[in-house]
Amino acid sequence: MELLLDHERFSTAVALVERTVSSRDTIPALTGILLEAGEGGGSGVRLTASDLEMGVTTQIEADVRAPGRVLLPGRLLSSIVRRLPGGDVRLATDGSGVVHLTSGASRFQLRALDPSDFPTLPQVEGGPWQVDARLLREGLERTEFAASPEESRPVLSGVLVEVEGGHFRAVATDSSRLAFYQVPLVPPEEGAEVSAEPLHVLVPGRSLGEVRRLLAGLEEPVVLRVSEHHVSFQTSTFLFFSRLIEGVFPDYRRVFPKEQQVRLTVDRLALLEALERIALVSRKGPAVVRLQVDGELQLESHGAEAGQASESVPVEELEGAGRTAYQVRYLTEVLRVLSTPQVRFAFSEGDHPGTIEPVGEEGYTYVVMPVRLP
Amino acid sequence: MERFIVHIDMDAFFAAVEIRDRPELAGKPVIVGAPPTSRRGVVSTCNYEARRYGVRSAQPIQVARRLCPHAVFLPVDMPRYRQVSRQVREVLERFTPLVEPISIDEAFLDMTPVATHYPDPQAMGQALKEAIREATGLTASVGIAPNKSLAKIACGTGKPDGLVVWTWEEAVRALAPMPVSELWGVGPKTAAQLERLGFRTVGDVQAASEDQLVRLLGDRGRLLARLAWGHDDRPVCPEAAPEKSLSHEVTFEESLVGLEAAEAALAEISEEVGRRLRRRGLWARRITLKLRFDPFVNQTRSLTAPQAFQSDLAIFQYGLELLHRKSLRGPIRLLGLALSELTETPQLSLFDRAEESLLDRLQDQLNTRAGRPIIRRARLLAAQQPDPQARERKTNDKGTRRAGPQSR
Repeated sequence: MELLLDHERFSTAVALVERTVSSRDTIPALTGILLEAGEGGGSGVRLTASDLEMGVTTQIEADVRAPGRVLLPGRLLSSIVRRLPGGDVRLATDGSGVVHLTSGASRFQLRALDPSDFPTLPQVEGGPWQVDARLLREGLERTEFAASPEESRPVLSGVLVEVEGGHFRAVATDSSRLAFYQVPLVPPEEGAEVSAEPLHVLVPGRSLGEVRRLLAGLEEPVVLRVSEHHVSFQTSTFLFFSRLIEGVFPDYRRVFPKEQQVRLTVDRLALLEALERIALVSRKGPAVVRLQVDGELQLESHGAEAGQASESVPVEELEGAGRTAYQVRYLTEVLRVLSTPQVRFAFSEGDHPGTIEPVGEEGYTYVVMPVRLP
Repeated sequence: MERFIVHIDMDAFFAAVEIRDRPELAGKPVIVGAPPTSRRGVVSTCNYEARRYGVRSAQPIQVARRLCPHAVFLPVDMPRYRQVSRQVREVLERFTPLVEPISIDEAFLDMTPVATHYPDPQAMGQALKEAIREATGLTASVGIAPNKSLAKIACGTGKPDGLVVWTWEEAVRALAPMPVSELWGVGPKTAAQLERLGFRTVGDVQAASEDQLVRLLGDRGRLLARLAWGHDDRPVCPEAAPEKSLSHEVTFEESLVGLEAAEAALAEISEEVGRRLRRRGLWARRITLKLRFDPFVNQTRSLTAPQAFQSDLAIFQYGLELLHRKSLRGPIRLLGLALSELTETPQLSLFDRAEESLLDRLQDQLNTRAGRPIIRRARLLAAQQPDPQARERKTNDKGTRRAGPQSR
């Protein structure tokens, strides 16, 4: 194989696939980035990385002097390419398992991995469905954080992605709180092939974190496809696939409270900053904030050692009075991912969930259970 | 900078609460504790009238009955005392946030930052006592000194309804004639050892050089010298550090054979550790089972529950899950449960109903009042009383009784 690549394009492509390179070397081939240059030349080169859980592939233009396949150590290739000064990069094999990478005055002889050990990528052909990149990214951003970081209950470590009835939905929960995002789909372009079947898949939060990163700045439809065990996301620049989580996602529709005793509208950043301030006193264990609404919103936090803190936050459209308590993190995390100036917060006393919704944006609801006070 | 550390001790607390609520008891000897018919129960608290007859805390109730047969004997009503204790704590926190509760009826306060609000320490102590009396109708003894150990000793010298203020110089003079056992950390064993070495009073210790004490007692000698001279720089820690774990384990005189016997012991241990968990107002998320097989092979198995739990039944069921995880490697010499990831404020779940430990709390209350487990969960009781056939086998076995659990 012999290739000539533009440094900037190559560097971007390597950075795109590098994050799905396996960090564990139990299967050495998964620590590599696969480069494939087709027969016939001129058609470019394909870069692929996968840790079996997820993978991404992207195609870039290249001057293919001789076609071939090589598997190069992913982290090393990425570190080298990132540090090259620019210009052209030449990659060539010499038939002895060594890849020569040259650029300007730099020369590297890299020991390649055996490309035949690299797994074949899953065939993901069901669908397709289309979701606008911006909405997909926003939906993931506003839900993925609510998934459980623990793997002990796999269904809770994922985000439920649904396309149904002209809507795109993303839902995630760690069982203590739940984030629900729903937007109407932009009608697909004339002639675009789109499935009329509903889509329901449960995708690992970690994979979606990568999807979110890959979607940054894109404004185009993303094509979703599914197979029995996988989902893929395709854009003009990449094809990403992830394993699906098997199991039944909890019935999220029944967690939305119908009535709330207390409702108020509050400035999102003012509430976020007040919570961050008063949480400072509880450094050990999860910080808990007590909220009291009685004509105003009063926040209070007790630290085991540091002391205590309280603050009142100005509110509007206040109805009802009562008190409750939450883990501070469960409130600050959602306030951070929202973008509207104001949020609506509502709760009922006792073992009932509170709700947070952005004011002026339809379709997003965050439901959070309180902690029980002693 | 000189510190103003206050030690507050509610006078004959349990008895005082009882007398406050039943004025007809005033002036009579009142003993709170096990029922006077109990053979092994003890005195929890008694008022000063009863103390005149020689009745003391922790004394067997039978001895108390002999010393003072006409006393009024009352059962322990912990929830009520705890409520009054909270009230006292609220009063103290009006004076300073630096309140370190030591027990239900004692606390340290660091009044250094607010000392200038009072003309002198005497007035500070008086204000505290009055505020407590106003809020609860009870008297407290107060000791004020430059550090914790001196404040506590000072408080003890003024009981009941006392107020003792010591400067460091006054404290050193006051300590001299006291027995060494008055010092913090000097228990009966150390006291006996010190007496053998010729140190009977704190003054004896003060007269010795630090070098001499270190030669005789090692590092403890240095600490002893510091305490005898009234030095102690421990800070007042508001709200004692939260507990990280709670555990209970039992070593068996005769090793347990078979799953059934292990389950029976597990049921008993679950109840004990559950009672202690609830008494502290805590919930746990993690549970660890500890097993020791003959000869000295230890095993631990743990799990984290999806939700915080507090009931005996939940503890028992998770314990069973761990016990059944692997087969037993032989007779069990020791069995224990540890609860960790403790919290006072358990996170509730959207999908699973929170555990209602109302029954457990009711059970705790009744059992505490009775002084013995009169109410138990049938499921746990069943585990402890295996089917009659099995019992027969055991009694026939050379006539020895089934190995019973014995607390360490």
